[in-house]
Amino acid sequence: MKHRLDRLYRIASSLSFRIVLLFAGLLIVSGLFVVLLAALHSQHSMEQQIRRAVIAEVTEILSSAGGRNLADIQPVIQGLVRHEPEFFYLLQDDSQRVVAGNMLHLHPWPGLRWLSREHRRPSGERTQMIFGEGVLLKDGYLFVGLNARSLTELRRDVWMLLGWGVIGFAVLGVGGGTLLSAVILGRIETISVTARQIMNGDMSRRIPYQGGDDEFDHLSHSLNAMLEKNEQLIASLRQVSNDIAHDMRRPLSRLRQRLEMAAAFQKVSAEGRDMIEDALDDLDGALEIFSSLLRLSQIEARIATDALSPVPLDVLVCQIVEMYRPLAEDRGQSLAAGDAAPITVLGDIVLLSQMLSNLVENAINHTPAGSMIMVTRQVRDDCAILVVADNGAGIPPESREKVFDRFVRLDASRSVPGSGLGLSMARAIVRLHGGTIVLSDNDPGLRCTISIPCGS
Amino acid sequence: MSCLRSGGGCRYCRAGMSKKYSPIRLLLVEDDADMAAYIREGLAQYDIAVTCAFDGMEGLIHILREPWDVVVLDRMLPGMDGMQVLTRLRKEEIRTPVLVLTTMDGVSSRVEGLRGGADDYLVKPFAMRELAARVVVLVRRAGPARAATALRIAGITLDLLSRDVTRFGVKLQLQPQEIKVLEYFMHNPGVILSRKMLLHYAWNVDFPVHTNLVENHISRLRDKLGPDGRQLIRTVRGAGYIMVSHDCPSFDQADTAP
Repeated sequence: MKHRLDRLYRIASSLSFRIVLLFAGLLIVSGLFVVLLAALHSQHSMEQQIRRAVIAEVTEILSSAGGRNLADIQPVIQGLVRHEPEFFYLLQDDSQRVVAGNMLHLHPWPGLRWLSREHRRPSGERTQMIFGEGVLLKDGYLFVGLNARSLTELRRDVWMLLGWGVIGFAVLGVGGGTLLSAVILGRIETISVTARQIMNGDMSRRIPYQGGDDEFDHLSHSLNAMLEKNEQLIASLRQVSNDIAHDMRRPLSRLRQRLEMAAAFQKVSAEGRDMIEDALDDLDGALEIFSSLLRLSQIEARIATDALSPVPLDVLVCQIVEMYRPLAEDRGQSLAAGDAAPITVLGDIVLLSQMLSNLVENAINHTPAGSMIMVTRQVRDDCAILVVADNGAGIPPESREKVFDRFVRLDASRSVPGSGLGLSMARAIVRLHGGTIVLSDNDPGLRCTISIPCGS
Repeated sequence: MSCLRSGGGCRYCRAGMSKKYSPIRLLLVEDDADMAAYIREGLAQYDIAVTCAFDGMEGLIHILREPWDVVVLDRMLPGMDGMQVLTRLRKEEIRTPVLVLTTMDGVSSRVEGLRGGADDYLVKPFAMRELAARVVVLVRRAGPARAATALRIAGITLDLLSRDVTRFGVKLQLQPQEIKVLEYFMHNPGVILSRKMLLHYAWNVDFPVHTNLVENHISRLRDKLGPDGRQLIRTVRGAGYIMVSHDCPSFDQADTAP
């Protein structure tokens, strides 16, 4: 059920759905406009027709009466009314007393006018609307009108038409939008499934074609071509890395070997031997940075991971904290892990422990004695949230992004041991797991928040 | 034979190979002749007799034909590569400890190697004494001493079953991690154990640490062992730590070695 709702929500929030809705809306508006124009036009011509008929009748009455006096017209009207006519007639004197005709009295108002239902005939027959012409006489008022039911019916029909039109368009729009979106989403879903598989390390995945040679197949072709290219690039990157490692191995091994042999040489003085030992230490340091860099680029290129497996993050945190706690205590710092329920993420346990270890070491190395370092973890929105927080000097906001770059060491920490690769490595590892790492102010101190999705 | 150090270091680095014991017989499978010669000469200083094979097939024939104390296998070999040799000899039920030499291409090869049945691995380039120490540790681990239920050195007794540690009969309050480190030292008296080896064995950590984590744990352990802790577990500058004891043959006889 939740899945279905989820899918409906995705369809409703899709671009194609919104585009179709927008077009349906535009169609409704333009349709309304056209229908309204047509309605206005036909109403106008109908009015004209009625008007012509009414004016002709008035002219005829006046001509057969032979004058514009009440007394002249009265017999004509009386004669006309006697035969159940199509027309409505009203003849009234100045005091609005009905002299002849089949209507109730009116305000004497000249020209074309619409009358509503209270002006029905005295007989009580209901007429909805009367449209007619009023003529001011010397001593009274003459009105001749026609039943305008056809006009009101027209009006009602127009409104009905408009209403059904809106409903029809809305149904068509929503239905069509849903269908279109479902189809498009389906196609996009296959693309994103492939993308996720590739992100999880299966570089050989390609987007399947539907065979229709449509725009999605064209897009898939382009994307597949790009993926092909990328795979080749990564393969050659790996090759280059391996080549470097391989090529470096020989001269460095030889250098190391010569230094060791020199140290073993009988005639070397104790001081000379110490200097050679120092050189060996330096060489080992350089080698370590070199291999860390290599490893970092492998992690970033996602070629260094073993298959991902469920990692109990809470246990890992406890292990790392236990490992470093004596060291922190010796430095007068306190290191603790907050309580937490079991959290499992899909990951590489070696890399995750390196990441945690880097962050804890970072906190230990960059905070003074008396600082508190706290590692907490929780689950929020299907993500494992790890927080390594200290109350040391912190990092100024403008440097917080910079410290993730390779070899970046802030001036304040030049004297602290480390290669400047720890945070880069941590970020690469977090990203490999599809997570994020954010540095913020712990007020005072530094708060490092890592979020790793629990699921696949 | 030349000593690496004229001072205290030399006698300890001889890795427990006194004349009472025959030297370690090591088979090195390495295609690079220079590297092989360097390793052979280097290990000779530690009384380790190295026989070289220059490709995987030759190595495998050597392994199948005669028993070795330990095999050091380069991962990248022409033809049959190191991993294939390893898989093959494990299939033949040969339990000889194997140390795999890898280049710096990191985690994947480590994981692959350990899964393929290697007992240890070392990344090139390495310090000769590190290779020597790892080889000795591997040979000792495979030896009969492993069957003992308690380790005893210099009045320290570590009960391998109950994990209790006593010194001259008095129980010591050690953390599990400290016991693990102590056990590693007591299994390998007279062998220099590098920081890397300690990190790997005691914490299962194979990445560089930039704190004095190891130093810190060692100094705590020394304090708990007694006033002579510093003499029991000695620091070898630039190399690591070594447990020395008068029960250890290497200590007694180091000076008489040629």
